[in-house]
Amino acid sequence: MFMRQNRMLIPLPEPSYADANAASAVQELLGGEFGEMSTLNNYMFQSFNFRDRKKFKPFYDLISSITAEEFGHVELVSQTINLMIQGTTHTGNVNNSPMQNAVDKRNSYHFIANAQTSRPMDSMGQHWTGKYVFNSGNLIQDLLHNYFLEIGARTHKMRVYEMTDNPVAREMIGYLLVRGGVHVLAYAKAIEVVSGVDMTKMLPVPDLSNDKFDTARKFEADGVHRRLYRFSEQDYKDVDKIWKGAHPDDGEPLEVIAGAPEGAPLPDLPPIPETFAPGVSIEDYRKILERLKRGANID
Amino acid sequence: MDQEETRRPPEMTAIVEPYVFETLRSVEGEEAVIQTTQGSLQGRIVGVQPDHVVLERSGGNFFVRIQEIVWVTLDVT
Repeated sequence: MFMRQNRMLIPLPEPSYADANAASAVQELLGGEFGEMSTLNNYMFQSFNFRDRKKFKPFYDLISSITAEEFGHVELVSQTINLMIQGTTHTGNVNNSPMQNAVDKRNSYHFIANAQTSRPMDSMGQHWTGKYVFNSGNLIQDLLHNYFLEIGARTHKMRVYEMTDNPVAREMIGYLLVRGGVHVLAYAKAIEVVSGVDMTKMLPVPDLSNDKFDTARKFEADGVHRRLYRFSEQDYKDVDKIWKGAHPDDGEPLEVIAGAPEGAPLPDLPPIPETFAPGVSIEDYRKILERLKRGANID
Repeated sequence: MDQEETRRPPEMTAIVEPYVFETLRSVEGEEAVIQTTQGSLQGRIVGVQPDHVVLERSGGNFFVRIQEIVWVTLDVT
């Protein structure tokens, strides 16, 4: 089971301009075949359905730890999209089409189905599907798949980074390139332990280090690329049977961290009156507050 | 090109739309939506010059070229 914290993995900058079309591109990193929903659900089902986990505990612990981190990645990409769409439309009389600027944006679901927020879909508006989950039950096959999935996810992030210089998108991508690099290396190491084949000799794929990306550099300087989080204080301790030794890039020691990263507060998404969201007026809000107080017997 | 012509100093031309400028000046200090050729900006008009408008938003000041403005509305309720 999972514990939840009301924080996200890293702080995201407040956007100063609306960038809905770039947000559509970022959707690929959320609900695309190689997006965060795919990494999350692949590892989640692989961990739920793991056979003989006592014997192969380090691998089970690795997939389980990374599952929990992927939840945070889904959240971080979603919040990035939310911040990027902000400000596309304006308030005003409904008869004056206050949402007219949405009509020519790449994605209409953002404006019609949602109140200008993220959706489980890719950059072309195709919704995420469980068919993106690979869970053969064969340990080496699943690990190989995960290694390939992380490499694909990394390629997509690099390309979206090259498509937009939006500061919110770039901050998120910089961080996730570094974390994705950790996961590629972790699966490569797992494959080496289980099969004897050194996949790390192939890394990085594509052959471009995170160091080339302006917003990834500070995370590597902080050692984020060397840490694997267990997202649990007590469990998944055998991750350190796989995540050990030196990082191939800088030779610094790899470390397993109990629990989660410190994280940062979530953005407070403002109401968007022209979308009727949340659709509760200040008068309604006062009445709700009154009812809550009465229910709790507070004067 | 003859020599006379090459010696002539460069001339600056500025396109000023006097009525747009005057109307914008009349709504200085108001909350407005400015529709530009690149989308809309909502905020307070804090400055008006013959060729640009200064719009204040939570993120800071935006300097918008008047030539890029399509329309302005004060209907922000």
